[in-house]
Amino acid sequence: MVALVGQPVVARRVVVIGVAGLFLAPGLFVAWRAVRLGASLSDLAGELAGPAWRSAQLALLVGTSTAVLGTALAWLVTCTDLPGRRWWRIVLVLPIVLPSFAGTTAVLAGFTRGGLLRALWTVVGAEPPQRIRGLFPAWLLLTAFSYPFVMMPVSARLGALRSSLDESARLLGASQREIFVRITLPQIRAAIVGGTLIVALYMLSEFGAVQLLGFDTLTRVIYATRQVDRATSFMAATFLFVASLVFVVLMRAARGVEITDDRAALRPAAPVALGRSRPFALGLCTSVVLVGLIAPVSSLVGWAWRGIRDGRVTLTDLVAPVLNTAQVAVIAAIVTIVVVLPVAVGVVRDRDPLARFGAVSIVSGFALPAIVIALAIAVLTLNTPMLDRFYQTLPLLILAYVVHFGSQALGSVEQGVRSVSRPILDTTRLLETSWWRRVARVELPLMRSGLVAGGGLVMLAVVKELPATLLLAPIGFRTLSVEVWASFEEGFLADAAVASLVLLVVSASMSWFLVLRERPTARD
Amino acid sequence: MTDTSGDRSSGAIAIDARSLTVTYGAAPPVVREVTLGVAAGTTMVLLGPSGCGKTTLLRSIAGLERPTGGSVRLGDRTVSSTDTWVPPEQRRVGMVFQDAALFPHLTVAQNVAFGLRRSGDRSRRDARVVELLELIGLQQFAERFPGTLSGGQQQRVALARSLAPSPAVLLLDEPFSALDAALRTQLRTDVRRIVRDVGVTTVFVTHDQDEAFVMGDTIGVMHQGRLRQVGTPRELYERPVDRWVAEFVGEANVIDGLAADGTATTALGRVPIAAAAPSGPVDVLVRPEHLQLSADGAPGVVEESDFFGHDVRVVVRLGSGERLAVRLPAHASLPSGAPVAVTYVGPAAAAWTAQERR
Repeated sequence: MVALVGQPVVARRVVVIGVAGLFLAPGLFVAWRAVRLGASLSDLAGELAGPAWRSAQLALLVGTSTAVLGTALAWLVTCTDLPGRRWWRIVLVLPIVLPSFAGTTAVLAGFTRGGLLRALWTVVGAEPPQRIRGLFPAWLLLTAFSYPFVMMPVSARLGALRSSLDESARLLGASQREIFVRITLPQIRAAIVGGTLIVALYMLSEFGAVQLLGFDTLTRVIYATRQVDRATSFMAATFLFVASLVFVVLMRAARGVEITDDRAALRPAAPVALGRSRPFALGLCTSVVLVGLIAPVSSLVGWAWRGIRDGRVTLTDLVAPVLNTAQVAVIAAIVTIVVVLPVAVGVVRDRDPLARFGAVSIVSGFALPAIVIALAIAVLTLNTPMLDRFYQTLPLLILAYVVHFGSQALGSVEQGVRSVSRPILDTTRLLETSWWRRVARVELPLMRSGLVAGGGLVMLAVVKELPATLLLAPIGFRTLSVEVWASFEEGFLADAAVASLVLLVVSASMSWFLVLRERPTARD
Repeated sequence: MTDTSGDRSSGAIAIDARSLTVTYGAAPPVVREVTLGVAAGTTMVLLGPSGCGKTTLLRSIAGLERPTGGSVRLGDRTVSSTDTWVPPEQRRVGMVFQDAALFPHLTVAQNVAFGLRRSGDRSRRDARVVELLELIGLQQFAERFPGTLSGGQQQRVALARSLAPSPAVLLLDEPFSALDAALRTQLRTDVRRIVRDVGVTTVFVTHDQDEAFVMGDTIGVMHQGRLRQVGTPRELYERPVDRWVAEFVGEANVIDGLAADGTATTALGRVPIAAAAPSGPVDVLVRPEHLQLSADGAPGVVEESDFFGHDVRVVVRLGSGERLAVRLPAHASLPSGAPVAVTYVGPAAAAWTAQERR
């Protein structure tokens, strides 16, 4: 790895080609299999039409609702005199720490007999819902768990807008609404579209929550048919692959050419007075937090407390899953950084088109649903002599993580590379003759915070990952997310709740260190 | 160009602020009891060091800050008082910000057209945009985005944008402060020409004394939230009301004197002082260019000498111990330590009752 940082461009380009191949392989393999399966398309199309429609429906509906909700909440906490807006700014981001399958598990567990949510419902005197299944609950819960992906980038953008632009528009006679539509919206559009794209891609690849809610999407088809009916699962994977590509292309078009003025504002903007809509705004924030955070967490706490009180949960059972999770997360993070770094160096330092292609292929790994990557890797290894012995071993699982989450690290790693400026590189070259000592003494220390942040984001993503882990983990190798999933499937709600809470704490503390804490320093 | 504010010489008051006070929370007021009037069609400059309240005063006139006391009238309309508040979008006020604040996602032409009524006749709107782009000399940039323009071009577009809806009042908040010196000089001449051609009543905020003198028909000097003096550039320079104003609007020597009958006796000898000056112990303002070297002057020694090309600035220590800055023609060449004699050759000087010495 170190060799690749300071070495000549040619060596790095060879590595970059290898990296691009690694990230593109699963997608290409799925496409190739689909072409070979072409003949049977007509047989399968009827069978897959329903799930495909439901996958698309979920992505469109949740994408739209998170775009609207995320933007509205970002505006409320950034630009208005919403009471307690500093506090809301933190609380409203929190639902992001709970993986959607764990949040759904929690809500379902809460409404089962003995669940806290069911009890509360009865206290109010209402009839608790009998069946939580299908599109509506899936849309509601997934919206409540995913809007922060839109809210966070949009708040950051809104906070960086220059107050003098609003003031100019006002003095030129524009009303508050006109200012939002003609001045603010064009400048935050890219942030909205970017966040919405992430949500839409998550929805296409969503597995746990839809499975729990009995909403039959393509990921469920892949999971159910992966061993018995490869043709169907590959066709479903191809559908998902194509749908993801379509979303990426559409969103890129919707993003438009963004022209912004990134100079810092000279004075802070005066908050917009909400006036009589203040209770409505507070009500919106409260209900979002109720559904996305308080309902699932209180349900988890309720079950965990009962389980521990009745002695049905032994906390020592969780030691192995915690250690397993830590192990795969750390290894995946390190491998990802090693793989991504040469590409980042090529993009930032050489502005090398080949490296830029490498970066695009890394990002495309995120567009491909985890379950599709896992399927491709599993089948590819099983069908390749010599490689088949790796099936259901850790290296394959790590490989799937790296391909799927490489894009999470790319931005931070590029930032890290950027922090070693050209003058510093030149100065170092004049002072230190050995290239590897240059790397070790100057470059890596300067890049450290970027690399650590990138690795951290990968770790966070791995901790919350479910479907690829289910498909590729060695037999009996349970991570925390698998533990949550399996316990719930087996009906051990208290165990699932305790594992979820541990998962929540781990992911919350990592998010705090990586995302929330870093933000202010990054902007100053 | 359509007329926006009537005859320059009519003398009508276009901006009338009375006892304006702006306070944030419990902190002392940023603007204290400021009363000022700007005659229609003229330019008033608010001059002061940073933090003196001049930008806040400007923003209160625009309606971007809400005063805690006092009133503002624009023309014959009260826009701000204890019981009246007209929001900024209804004040017909144009403003150019320090950072130009052009909308980055709109072209130059779209920026200029922003404040023109969208319901109106499209061809008239387009004609108005062309007219303004010609006025600022940037018609060839109409379809460019602001990010591709230089800082000076951006400020000119911002000026055109604020003038497009024919505002009753134009406010400029340190529009040249982010530009380099040569460009600043060029641009302020251009802006002064445009503002006078259009005939719009203008308030211009700056901390730069040269800029204030070039731009202002009148200048209001602000210090610690108060308006210390209002006058023409010449009045301010020659008759500052106190030592602080004297030193802020130019290089100043202030020397001790004893005043009687229109002259002050000082270390320089007898200096004529203004008729309105007090008698008794006084501080006398002596501008460096009003001093000359001559054989019969007060004796002293050259301490330092800086060559500026067009002139030389020499610091002379008099026998009495007072140090004086003297501006001399560039051909004068005086080494440190050279003995010289200094004479006052200027007009009647400003003088104020003596302050406690430092």
